[in-house]
Amino acid sequence: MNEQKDEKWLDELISRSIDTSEPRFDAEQWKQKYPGEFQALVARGARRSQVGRFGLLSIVMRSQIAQVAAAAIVIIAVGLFIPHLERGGHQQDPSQQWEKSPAEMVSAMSLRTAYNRGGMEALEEQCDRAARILGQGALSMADLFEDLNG
Amino acid sequence: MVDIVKGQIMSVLNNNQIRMLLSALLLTLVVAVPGLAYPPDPDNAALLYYQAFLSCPKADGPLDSQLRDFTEGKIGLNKEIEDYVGSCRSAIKLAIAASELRECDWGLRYSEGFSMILAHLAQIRTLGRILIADARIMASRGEYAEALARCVTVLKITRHVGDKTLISTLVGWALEGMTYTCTQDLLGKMPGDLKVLKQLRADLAALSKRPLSVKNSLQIEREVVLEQIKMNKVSNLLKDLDPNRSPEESMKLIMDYGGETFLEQCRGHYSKFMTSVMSIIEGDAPYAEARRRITEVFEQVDKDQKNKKKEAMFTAALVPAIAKVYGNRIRATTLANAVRTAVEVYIIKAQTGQLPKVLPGGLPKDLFSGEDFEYKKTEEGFMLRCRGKDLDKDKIHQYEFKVAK
Repeated sequence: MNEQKDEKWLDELISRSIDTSEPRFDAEQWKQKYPGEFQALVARGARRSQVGRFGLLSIVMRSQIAQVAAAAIVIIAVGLFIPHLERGGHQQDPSQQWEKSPAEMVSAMSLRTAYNRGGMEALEEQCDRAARILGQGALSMADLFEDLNG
Repeated sequence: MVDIVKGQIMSVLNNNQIRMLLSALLLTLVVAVPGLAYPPDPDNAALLYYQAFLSCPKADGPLDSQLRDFTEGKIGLNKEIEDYVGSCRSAIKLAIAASELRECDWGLRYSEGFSMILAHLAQIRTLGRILIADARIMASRGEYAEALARCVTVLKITRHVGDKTLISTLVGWALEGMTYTCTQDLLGKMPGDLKVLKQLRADLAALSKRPLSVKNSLQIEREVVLEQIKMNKVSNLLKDLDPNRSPEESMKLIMDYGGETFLEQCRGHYSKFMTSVMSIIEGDAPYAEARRRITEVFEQVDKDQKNKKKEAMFTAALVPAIAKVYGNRIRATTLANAVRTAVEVYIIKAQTGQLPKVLPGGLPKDLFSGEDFEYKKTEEGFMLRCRGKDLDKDKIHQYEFKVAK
């Protein structure tokens, strides 16, 4: 589930939760009736679109039932997003760890750079990080028989 | 005809000398044949260490942290650690056998220069930890002689880690430090046992006669680097030093500076620097004086760089590690000397029932001052304190030793 899809789904949910069909707004009629206000609105330029984006939200906030519904939707949405974010977080850590391949981590230059950077502690840490990746699981006879017997 | 041949054979067999010769031949065959039945065990310790690495079950996440903490004496023994170390028995056996061998050739590809893979250095630390954990487990059962013997095994392994590269020497010192800390703890818990202490004294004295040599590692380092600062290899070295620059760009730079003629100047600069540093490190000057002289040599490299001496390029990029190495060497040797001095104190305690009032003469020294350690009795045992300051760390090291009640 990507973020865009989530947003679309969220918009649909909000639209379904509140009735946005009333009141209807006749822009042309309003422009003719209030020309001064119309000019002031045009002058606000870019800000206008932002206000428009949150227009739906301001309608939501006026109704108590809609407020509860919106809160529930936000909670559901957060609930759905958290696992996604966590997955994202987990994906990031290994990429940091695998910035270098295990072999690169234990090359003379890499170990030397670690030592130059942080002395003995950094060198030891680099060795240990490499050992955690390089570590082998010992093959038992049971494993071997299992492999041979399929 | 048959009778004639038979008669000749019998006459030959009746000859005493020939009979003795045949008997000797038969005996040799009987003894030699079983010996030829299978090839001998390896005489290269590295082959056994590599097998030990492969035989170690992997300690996952939390267990790995627990093992580290236990090895360092930060936590007590628990069943998971005991079971894990138990599962490493084959690896421990291989490591012990390897430590007893004289030769240890890790098969490193020095021709690769700084791209050379030193994977064994990461693995040997893990193996060392398992052995130290085993020592602590044995000590928890009261088997102090075996536990200290295990520590000596790790110290022998540090000699095999080797002094063929600067990094190997540093890893060897780090493993040595870990082992001496464990030894220090075990001595503090062990009831006075003169025989065990005298054995430890002899083992530590023997090991002190073949320390890891910085001179050796620096010499090899110099040869490796000089080989790399040549037209056919320099692009690899530059790639290692500056991974963000393409080999083509780097080579263009070298060509702009004068190609091989420039590289020859670089080799000369680097070689001169290394010779100066090596003579200081291996010289007899006291710590503070040697450190001052090393700093002077480094200041010269800085000066050359600031004066845009292009030939200082490789020296400036490759030598910073060496400035710290001398400090590491003094620190590692002083810790080893402190433990050896402490063993003498424990021996006096085991012999007389009392801690000595002063240290006996002729003991290993604090290399920060070049003098004997300062000795002080404490509530729990005694303390050995350096008389000179570690100028890198800006502190005076002191080593506490407990005495079992």
